[in-house]
Amino acid sequence: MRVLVIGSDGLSPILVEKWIETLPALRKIKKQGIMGRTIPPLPAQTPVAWTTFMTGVNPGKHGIFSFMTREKGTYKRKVNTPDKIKTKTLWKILSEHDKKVGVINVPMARTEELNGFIIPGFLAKNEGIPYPTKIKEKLQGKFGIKQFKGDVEIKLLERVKEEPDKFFERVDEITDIQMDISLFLLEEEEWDFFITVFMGTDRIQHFFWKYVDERHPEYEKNEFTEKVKRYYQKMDVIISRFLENIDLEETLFILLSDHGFCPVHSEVLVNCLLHKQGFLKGDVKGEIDVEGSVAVAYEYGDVWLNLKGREPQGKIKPEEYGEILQKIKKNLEKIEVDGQKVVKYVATRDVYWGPYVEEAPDLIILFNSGWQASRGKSKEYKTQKCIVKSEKWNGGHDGTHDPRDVPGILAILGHGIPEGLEVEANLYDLTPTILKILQVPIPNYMDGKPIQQIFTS
Amino acid sequence: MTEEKTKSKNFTSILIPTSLYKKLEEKVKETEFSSVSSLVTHIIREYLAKLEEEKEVFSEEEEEEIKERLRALGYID
Repeated sequence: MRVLVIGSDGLSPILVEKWIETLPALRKIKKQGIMGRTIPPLPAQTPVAWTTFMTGVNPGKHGIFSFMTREKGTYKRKVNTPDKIKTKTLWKILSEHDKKVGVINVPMARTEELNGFIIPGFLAKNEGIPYPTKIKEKLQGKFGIKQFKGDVEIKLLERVKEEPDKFFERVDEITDIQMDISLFLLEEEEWDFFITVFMGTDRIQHFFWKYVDERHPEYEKNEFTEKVKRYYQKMDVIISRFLENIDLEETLFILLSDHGFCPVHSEVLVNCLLHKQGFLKGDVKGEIDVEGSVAVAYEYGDVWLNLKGREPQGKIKPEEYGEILQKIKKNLEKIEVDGQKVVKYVATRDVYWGPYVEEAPDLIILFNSGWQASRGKSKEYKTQKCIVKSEKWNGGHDGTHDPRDVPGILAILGHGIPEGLEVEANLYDLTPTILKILQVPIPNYMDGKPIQQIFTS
Repeated sequence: MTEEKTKSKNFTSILIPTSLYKKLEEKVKETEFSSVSSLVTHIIREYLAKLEEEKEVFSEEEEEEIKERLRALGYID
């Protein structure tokens, strides 16, 4: 048995359901196989979610809690890059059991010595550089490229509003190149496990979600609605191309996304709230006094307390920690705008388990659909209004929403797969499921369990 | 394809001192590996992986580049 996984970052099960009549490949899978949902980890963010998928464990065991973290024993904000992952990847485990693997553009997947090849994805140091070198040579021979980065360039991202057509064109172009490269390596290389992850859905939806989700207060059906739909149809064509290139009698096909989306119309300046509530103070320059404050928040609704013995200039005694934590949590959970609750709940580290729990933020705010922690204004704390209109994004998921409000998609097709079944699985169930299909022992430390419905017949 | 042919295509021999081989032969009994060859394959893979991992650590400059990208995507300010 072999396993082929097509990943699509942020592909929304809501939109698939809505447009299913125009998506023949997905309609076929829904009828002949499993169509369901993946529940992302908390927070439902690309780096956390893909790491959870590829390790089979919760963030307390793999150590990635967000895009960014606070460096231990400092107040320094650092990017969480793949070298910080503490647990083995699915492809490493498979390689150790002599299974051949092919890994393309998975966010947080980095160069590793594998029994096969890898093209590292988003956030990896060697993003897009194939390893080993023979793969680089093959791509150069066939496509004339030494490197493949499956993401839109910074310059275009910065001008999405001014030049939306250029943005969509470039996303299409990158998607096409990735499909060609993936199909070529699928044919050319030996593999027991093959994965390729497309980023287009995520990038498009962050900027254009309000044109496809009627729940958004600024929902408007226009040319962008059609453009997003057309990209879903493109992904459907890609799925059908992969299905044409495998034998379903001996290969299990899995389509998955790491999270979905929900509307975002307003941004919450969490530090402004903490300031008004007396937990945060400013310095003489008018900036946030991180060292002098009790608590500080960052872009993802992650709140860090200033604890004695842990932070260099700690302000709270360990015995006060629990009480202050609860106070901040309660205050944030109370906020309402026009009678609507802004915060769904505030999570503490108790949601995690494992040796790296202490690297998690002290609190994570999960907003109700529509609100998110401010990115662009996360450092503003003195403003009159702590809740403002969201300018850059109108669709979100990442780190500021309940994972259950932004599920990803899970579609499975293959020999013996029950027809027309709906399944819901945690993202960390996928690695144990794939190990079981490939008859590789599942390590005891894994949190996920194989998806039983696959193995019923 | 016969097993022999598959073997010759996918595997090759390396030379190691006999004394070392004998040590490994003893060691292999205490491990999950079925032969000295699979134990040595594992050790070599681990070694190569370590070299790759060392290359993966980000410099300050590289981290700044990543931050630029995250800013453009709207992930950070």
